[in-house]
Amino acid sequence: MAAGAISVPLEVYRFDPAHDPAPRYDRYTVELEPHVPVLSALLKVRAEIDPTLTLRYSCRSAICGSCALQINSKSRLACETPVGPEIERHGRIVVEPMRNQPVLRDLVVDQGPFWHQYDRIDPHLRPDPAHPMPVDAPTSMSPEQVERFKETPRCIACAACFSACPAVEADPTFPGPMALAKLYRFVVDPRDGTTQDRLVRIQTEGLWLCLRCHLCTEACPKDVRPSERIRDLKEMAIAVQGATERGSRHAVGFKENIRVAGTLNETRLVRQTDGVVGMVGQLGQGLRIWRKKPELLHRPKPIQGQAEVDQIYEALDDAKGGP
Amino acid sequence: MLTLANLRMNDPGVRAKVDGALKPLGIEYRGTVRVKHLLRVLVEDIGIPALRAKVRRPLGGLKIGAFYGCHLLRPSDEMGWESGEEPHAFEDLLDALGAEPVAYRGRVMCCGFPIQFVKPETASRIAGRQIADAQDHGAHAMATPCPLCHISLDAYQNEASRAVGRPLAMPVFHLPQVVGLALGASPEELGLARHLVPTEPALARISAPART
Ligand code: FES
Repeated sequence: MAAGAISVPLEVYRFDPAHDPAPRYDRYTVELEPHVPVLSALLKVRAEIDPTLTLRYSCRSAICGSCALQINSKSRLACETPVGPEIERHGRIVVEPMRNQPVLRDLVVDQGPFWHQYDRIDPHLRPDPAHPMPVDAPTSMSPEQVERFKETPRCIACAACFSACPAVEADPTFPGPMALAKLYRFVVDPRDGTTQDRLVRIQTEGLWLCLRCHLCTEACPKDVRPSERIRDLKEMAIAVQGATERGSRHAVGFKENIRVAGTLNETRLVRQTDGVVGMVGQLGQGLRIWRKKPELLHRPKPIQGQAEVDQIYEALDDAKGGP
Repeated sequence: MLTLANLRMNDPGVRAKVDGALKPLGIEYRGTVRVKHLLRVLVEDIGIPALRAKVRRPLGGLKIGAFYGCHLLRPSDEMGWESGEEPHAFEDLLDALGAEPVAYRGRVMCCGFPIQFVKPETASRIAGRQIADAQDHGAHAMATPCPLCHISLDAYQNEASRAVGRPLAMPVFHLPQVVGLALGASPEELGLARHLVPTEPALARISAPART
């Protein structure tokens, strides 16, 4: 054992869909210094113990985005996740392929679903045909304009966010964190001529399925903070189109609800989101809940100082110059 | 959410806007309010040893799946306490109350509630996955510090069960209820009869004798 090396027990997901009836976990132990990344541990296993272990990687420098895996259930780049802290916290390292994409073999997934969502969003520069970009001169942007999307170009499309996202897991119509963060980048790019269309379209193409759970922001190795970019998109979409979707009606309804009473009236909020017809659909469920929680039926009285709340709203709306 | 709002107030632009709106009312926000969730107060300010000493009715025999709720943890760099994916404060607390915390992946996942009014089927599928995960790992009950998670996991459990296509029978406690139970409060005082999923089967699991 080299000086400073620790024993690293690994449990590695193994599966060849063509031959294996079910996945299994193979155990290996390697000796490594704590700062060594998980990818190096896997390569050591492959070189010294089991040459059939299949994994994907290239740069080994957190640039190419090809080595994302689940490391003790967290979606991470294997090439920049050191073994030491994982062993300290868990005593072992469970290595599994990314989620939400079918396994091709062992740790390699088919990224098809991820790229399908990306293509669907069309995250490419589409200049306004009326103002084509000059071909013989550079286009320039002010530092302030660049500042608005400084995080998103850092994305290396590793799909860690896609793997971590519970909305992706539950609903194939949700584009996923990366696709939406990329969309944001072109929505705020001053050279793009399709901002309004993009914002209108995305409202019916899954924007409102984001759960705001921030698991993508937690997983992202480049601090793109996709959940925050999605929040920005929602705000811009409402500014462009008003509250036309259930998601935006709920958001705006919430805001208006507080304005009129200073407190939340749940029944009213459901009506604002679903309309009266939609509400009837929820009646069965509503009755079951109301039987146990009768206070929900009472219309909350406006709070003391409601007029002041209204004044604050007014001042903020004026400051924003919009709804 | 309030923690994040408080952080935004450090932005001079945001601060100016808020001040502008509050000024006509003669109100000023100085940014001195500290926002702290009950779970954090229990674990950090009261402390695990002090809580342990206060337990009158240890919850021994009861396996509980802690369900954190997203906004208590993430974005973790802004919330500034627990890991956003591998927290342990809630499990530490349950352990102090004498219960047995259950390890399961769903504990840090989303409950689905934020899209309950956008796409109920998807919301229920998400809730159902987390409940089923807790159930598969042997939990007799779940506990959550978030009232919206509670609605999703308890009030909509029927829908969740249908969405994942399997029976679910998982009592879900609010954080203060599990603490209250262990400190000796009665089920009536804690409003346990107001849950949609009956809590009696979980209460019946508690095997440790009460301390006087
Ligand atoms: S190998 Fe290129 S990012 Fe890890």
